[in-house]
Amino acid sequence: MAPIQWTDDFDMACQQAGQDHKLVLLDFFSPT
Amino acid sequence: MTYSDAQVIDTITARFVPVQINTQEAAGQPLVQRFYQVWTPDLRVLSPNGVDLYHWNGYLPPAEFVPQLLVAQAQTLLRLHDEPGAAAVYREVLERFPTSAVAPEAQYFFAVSAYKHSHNASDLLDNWRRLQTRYPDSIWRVKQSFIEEG
Repeated sequence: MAPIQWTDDFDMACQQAGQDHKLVLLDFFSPT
Repeated sequence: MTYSDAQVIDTITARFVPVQINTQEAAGQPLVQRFYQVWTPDLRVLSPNGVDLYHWNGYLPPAEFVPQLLVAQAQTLLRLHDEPGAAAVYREVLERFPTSAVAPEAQYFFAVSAYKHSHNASDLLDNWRRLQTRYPDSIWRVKQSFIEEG
């Protein structure tokens, strides 16, 4: 199965969510 | 890892546009400050105009992460006044994940979503009463316990 296609472009993600009638999932992470 | 689980991938891909921000990098600092971020993991579900409408901290295994994602989606839909959409997702949590940690929250807000759509008091009260039998030890049962008095 293909992995999740994460982006780090917040503004583009919001725009995409509006176009696709989806919500934005924002994951703040800290590399271990 | 939670993000390599097939059900997690399916749920995120179908319902969300996923954004990851590394809190240790300079490029992430504007969003860290904007969202008052303090501890990871930190997950937010946002409306398309970038408003945080549900969030949680802490690692969850896939069996808890998927229902948590669904509850976050449902609460966001409810706050965006899509009551039928919210009720459908809360119902999905109750049917697919009835023993998950967030199931009592789903039962509480399924009642709220149904009532706010129908304005029929029985949609609220009958569904809240299910907390008394299905999830009697839950804080969400306590939150409707005023209807148990008298």
